[in-house]
Amino acid sequence: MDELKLPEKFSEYAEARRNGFLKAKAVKESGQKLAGIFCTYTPLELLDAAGMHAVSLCGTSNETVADGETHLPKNLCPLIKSSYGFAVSDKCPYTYFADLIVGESTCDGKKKMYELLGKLKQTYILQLPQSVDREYSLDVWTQEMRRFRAYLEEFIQESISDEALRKAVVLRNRYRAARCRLLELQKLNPAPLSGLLLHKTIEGTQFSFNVEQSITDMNTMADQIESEYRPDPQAPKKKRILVTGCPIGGVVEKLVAAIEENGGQVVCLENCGGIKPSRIRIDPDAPDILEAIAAGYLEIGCSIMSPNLRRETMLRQLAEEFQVDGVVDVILQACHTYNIETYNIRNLCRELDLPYMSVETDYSVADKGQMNTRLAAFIEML
Amino acid sequence: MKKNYYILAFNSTHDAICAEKALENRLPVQVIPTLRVVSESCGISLRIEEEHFPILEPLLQAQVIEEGRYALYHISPDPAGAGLAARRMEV
Repeated sequence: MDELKLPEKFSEYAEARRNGFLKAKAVKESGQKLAGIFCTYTPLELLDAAGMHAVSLCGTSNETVADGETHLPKNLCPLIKSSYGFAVSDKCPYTYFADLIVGESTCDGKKKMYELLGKLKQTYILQLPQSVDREYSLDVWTQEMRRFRAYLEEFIQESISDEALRKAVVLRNRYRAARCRLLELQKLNPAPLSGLLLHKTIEGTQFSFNVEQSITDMNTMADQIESEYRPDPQAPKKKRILVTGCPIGGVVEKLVAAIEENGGQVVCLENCGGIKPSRIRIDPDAPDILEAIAAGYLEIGCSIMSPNLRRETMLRQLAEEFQVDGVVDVILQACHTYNIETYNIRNLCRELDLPYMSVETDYSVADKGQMNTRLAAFIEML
Repeated sequence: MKKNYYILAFNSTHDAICAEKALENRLPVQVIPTLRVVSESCGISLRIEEEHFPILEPLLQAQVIEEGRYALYHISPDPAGAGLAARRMEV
């Protein structure tokens, strides 16, 4: 393919996590409130309707793992240790500036970590159901939405109207649609973007503190890529890889780089930083808006649900839509739920006749060489 | 041509914000995201332009910011590349 000139916005968003510190500070200084969040199950519409900015506090650096281990056991996932380490060492300005932390009862490690986090900062833990197939699952999660709304109303000392929630739903639907549009550009064959850049760009939109601006920017980037896409038929064909499994923010440099430096291209990010939460659409005119929000977020196919059939359904669709050549399942060390699900995903890939590989890793660079060798061999085999 | 400047880097955000408050009425300081070349790991640092260093130095010596709570760096264009070089300084 001819060298595709990327819109400048891409480099801006790739650095957004660092540059967002100053925006977070400005938000605080202007008297607005900031909520630190961790998970895609967090109903952003409620925070928007409460006039609060949401910022991701998911730790993606190995640097604070040791700080986390001062209070947490060593055999815990690096995301939990890194996130807690940032909070306890006060190294993360987002955590420092956050007025409220919103956790959720997803995996055991996270929910217990939030209890400790609650000693450092005001924390609300959303109580998720353990499955989506029970007749009461939606009711449980809707009740939690009602409770969270009441909690936020108390927190901001103002009521949150249904109208504000409906407006927020419209905004977040547009945000998710713009995210999908950018992610789905990779359906083009050859795909126009490196998976690494795409991941960083999507991640960066969470640190813009201006949802409307992020929507505009994502759509502008997609417009530019579409209009300038001129594939070179002579260029060597890259193997199209789908990445699934745990959140990859802390391993993306090591993992996606290893794929893309060895003849592969990450065309589909299924993880929670990618497609998984982006296809949620919520009806803003639903009679009970909180129930509609609850139902929307329950669509997320995360391994903390038992069973988690939605992940498999989505993977089937994505493998076809993105014309995938192979699947890489990423497991963060000590993530039992995703680790056990590798058995199901391996079988699913066998059924789809798709080469599959799982990699268990952490945030250190100790396994960088080994991962590079394994992924290079996997791609070569495709 | 890129300018040289100084950076005060911190290990905690609280220290960075306290230092900003202690210095902001005495000399121009700018809060910036911490440069990758600096090893202190709080996400924000304070930038002080070279021409204001004569005001900063005595303030640091007078411990307007508590000793041990910060690290001072001189930042200049990296002669070996396109990036920046950071030299740790003693006060």
